Amino acid sequence: MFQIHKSRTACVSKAITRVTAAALLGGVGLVSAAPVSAAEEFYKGKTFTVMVATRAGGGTDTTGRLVARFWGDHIPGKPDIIVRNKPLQLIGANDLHNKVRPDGLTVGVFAGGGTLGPVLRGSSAVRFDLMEWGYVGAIERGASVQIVRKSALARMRDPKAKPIAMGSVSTDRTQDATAVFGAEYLGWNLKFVLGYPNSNAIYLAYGRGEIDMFGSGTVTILNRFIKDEGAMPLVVEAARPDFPDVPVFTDLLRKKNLSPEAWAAFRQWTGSGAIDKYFALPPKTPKARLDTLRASFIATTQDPRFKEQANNIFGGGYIPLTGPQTREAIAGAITPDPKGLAVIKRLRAKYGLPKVSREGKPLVAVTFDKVQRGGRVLLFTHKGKNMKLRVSGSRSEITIAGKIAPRAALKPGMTCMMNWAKRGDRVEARKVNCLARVTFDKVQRGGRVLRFSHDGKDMKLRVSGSRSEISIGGEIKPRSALKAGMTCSLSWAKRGDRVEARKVICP
Amino acid sequence: MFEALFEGLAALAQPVPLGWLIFGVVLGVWGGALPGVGGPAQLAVLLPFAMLMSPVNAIAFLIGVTTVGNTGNTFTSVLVAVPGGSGAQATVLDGYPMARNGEARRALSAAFMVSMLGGIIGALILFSSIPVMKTIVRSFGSPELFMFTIWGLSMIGTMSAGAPLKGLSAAVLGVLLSTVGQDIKSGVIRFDIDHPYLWEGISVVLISLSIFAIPEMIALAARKGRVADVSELGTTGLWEGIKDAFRHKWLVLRSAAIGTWVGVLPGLGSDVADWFAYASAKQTEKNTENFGKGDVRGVIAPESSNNAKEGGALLTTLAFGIPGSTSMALLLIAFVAVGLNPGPAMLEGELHYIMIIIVALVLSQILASGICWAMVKPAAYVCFFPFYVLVPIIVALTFLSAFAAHFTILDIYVLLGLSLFGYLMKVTGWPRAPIVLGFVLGEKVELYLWLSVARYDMDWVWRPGVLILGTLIAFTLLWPVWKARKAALTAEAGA
Repeated sequence: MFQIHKSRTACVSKAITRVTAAALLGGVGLVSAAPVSAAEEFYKGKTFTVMVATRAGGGTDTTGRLVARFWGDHIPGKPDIIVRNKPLQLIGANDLHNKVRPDGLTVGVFAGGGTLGPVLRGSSAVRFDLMEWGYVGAIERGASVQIVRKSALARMRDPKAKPIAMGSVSTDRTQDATAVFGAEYLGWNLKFVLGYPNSNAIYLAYGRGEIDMFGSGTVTILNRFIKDEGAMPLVVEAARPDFPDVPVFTDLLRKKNLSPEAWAAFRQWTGSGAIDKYFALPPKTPKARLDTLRASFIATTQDPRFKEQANNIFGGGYIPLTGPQTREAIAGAITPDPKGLAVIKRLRAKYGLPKVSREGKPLVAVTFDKVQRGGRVLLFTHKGKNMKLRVSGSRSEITIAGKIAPRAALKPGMTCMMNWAKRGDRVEARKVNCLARVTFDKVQRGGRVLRFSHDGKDMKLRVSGSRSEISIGGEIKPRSALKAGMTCSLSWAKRGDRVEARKVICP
Repeated sequence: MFEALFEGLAALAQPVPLGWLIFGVVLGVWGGALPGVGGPAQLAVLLPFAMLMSPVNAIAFLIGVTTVGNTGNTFTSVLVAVPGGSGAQATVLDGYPMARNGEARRALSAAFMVSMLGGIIGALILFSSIPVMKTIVRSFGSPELFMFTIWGLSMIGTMSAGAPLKGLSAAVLGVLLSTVGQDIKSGVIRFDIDHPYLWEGISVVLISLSIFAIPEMIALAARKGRVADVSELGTTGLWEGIKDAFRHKWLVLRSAAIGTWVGVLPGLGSDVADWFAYASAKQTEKNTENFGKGDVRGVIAPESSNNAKEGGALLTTLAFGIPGSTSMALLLIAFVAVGLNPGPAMLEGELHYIMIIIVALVLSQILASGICWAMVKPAAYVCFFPFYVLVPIIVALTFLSAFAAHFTILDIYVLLGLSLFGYLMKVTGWPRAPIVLGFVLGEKVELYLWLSVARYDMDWVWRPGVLILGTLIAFTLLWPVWKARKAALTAEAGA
């Protein structure tokens, strides 16, 4: 787990080096040199909108407004800049993808947790594809610090005491992951109070004693609550020089010997926070405009006036990321890990967090005619049409006979239950649940019991008259139609102390 | 504390800060008088300039801009039934009927006088409550705020013009309309009929324009007349208005206290103060049969409260560094940018800045009322414009303000649809105010109930604050019944 912290630090230090180098070598100027005249002509006299995807007053808003203040001076043609707020990250993201014109005159400002989190857990509210956006850059502030009321600390490890109320906005922030994993693996005695409309409402709720714990990365907020409001830092998500004595959460977790699945879940949930406040353009924005804005964004962050203000607000602990770095970080953060997702789902249910998951497309049974390029391409016929599907190494979820498998394990002739979705101009497999191909040695009690060997093991399966789905030659048949010697594709699941067939597809 | 007050006075009484204050007030009044221009939108545009000023100049300028919008927006509310801002919705209820009765000058004059008084009372409350500020605000948790919103909803009975069931239905519709869009708590998209426009919900600007402004303009055009039904404005209106303000001094004081209170409680929203004050006036005043038909008290109550609210809202912004509204959030950003430290520390180390803010607040209210008062005489002639001049101008302005909601043509379609509905409500005699009140309070009712249950399960019901507010709600609901019964008994005894 050490990699999490290390990779974040490494990414950040790489970012500093790259950004500084770009500025020093005048790379910024070179990047924007070619399209300058066209860009200047385009932006001159126009209004450039910075659309902050949160209400006014929080960290995202402060960051957006700070950049907006000086950005106009660095965009060729010096357009007028206005800032508009949206009430919710998801509304802002949905708007950017579906409503905002891709003309390079509107940039969205988002927080990693608020937009990447819902994508990762497949929220039904997501109507956007992050991989289609044009990334302008990001501002990375310090890692989140979980603070707790000193007087409530005694109740933290006493399961019989009144639970400590942890307040949050949406359950997608990294501090929510910290709290849930703290409760699950470190025995924190917590109650989650979710639904505060913004960070200010959380601070106020703490002030009036409604909650005892929250997380924040803003140093001015942290210092205020620690100094004036009887709070103390409990853990930091990653080491921070300004909080040197506070335990690092991942170090605490490491001592608990978490399973690989639990680590995967933790990485996934907190991964969305690996990118802090980012600036993005809608899909299909012309590349020249994206380049212009990327260059001007970095130039803005190098502006001495910006640096002075940013040091006041962020306490010096901030790092600008370039557009490509931002894109890379986001692409890495939204790669789902099926093992982790299962743990996240379990934990969310256990701690009563909203589970607004998108209903997956129904799975359909297909038999592969061809499997090419080591499982990267699948060819089959579905409803009379020839289909060609890509299989992603990270996004496609593959199981064979119930076990997670790599795409290289997919072979022609396999029968799998699967669904797919469009991704850009390709169609990509989402879920590929392949059935085991077996030949029945014996079929007993009129099809009620199947015996066969699979993976070198002798198996005995029950077939239910109502729950097991049997199809022979494409038609639904009763279990009595199953005969010894048939070769069929099967899936099964445990039911009580028995193992029961789920799908039985025979040619 | 008084030392800091004098320090504040001295800092502000310089030509440059005073100049910025006057400039700010003029911009604030102008923004308030043009629907859709003032408020947070105007402040957001001015913010970058203010951030470059010295702290004292920035305070003078920003307080000038922020706190007088509710004075300026009375013009359109009274003269043409277009609520100039979210704080002037309730003013339409009696302000416009007064204009129709030829009392536009009186209504405006009274409104500006009480705006000033309310603003000053709010500032005084702010000043005197500094020592206990923290305790007051912290005694209100989500359950108490929930009860407050319910209390607000319970007032619909008084706004339903003798048709409580119709009023209740309209309020329920308002609450339902407020649920359209993406739910802030869970991210679930509700009632969007699969159209992205509705993800953000329906704008309160569209609701108030379509429920009040357009129906009144249609009615005016149908009448083929002028706003004022009389031929003369009368010459005493101005003084009469001022006298009204002092004649109803207790109402002014009570409404200002309500306004300050609503402003103090962050999360209750700045657009409910006028409604609370109006409803409370209607409930507690005697001889209320003219409310809704042009009673000057129906103008005095909301106008006094919406300016007093600024003091209350500033109080929480400064004391906790936590803004209660978008305007206050923007103000806070500017204050931090010029080097102030709003929050508990400000009460100790930078008390003189708080005093500058209080003094600037009082001066702004006086200046704004003075400017507006000087404009009453010419402005009141709007009531005599023939419908074919006035209606196109106002409808065009209304459409422009509506378009500013999301900058899409769909805003106009929604405005047209809701306006038709508003007009139908008007001609069929359905009370329209409850629908706006339900809409304004709907989101908050849901949010605070959710948070109360999430935090306290059902134990929140037994909190002392909840029980006290519950009693007040019961009183609000039963008082009209008791009053009506008493009146009936008196009439019987008289007969």
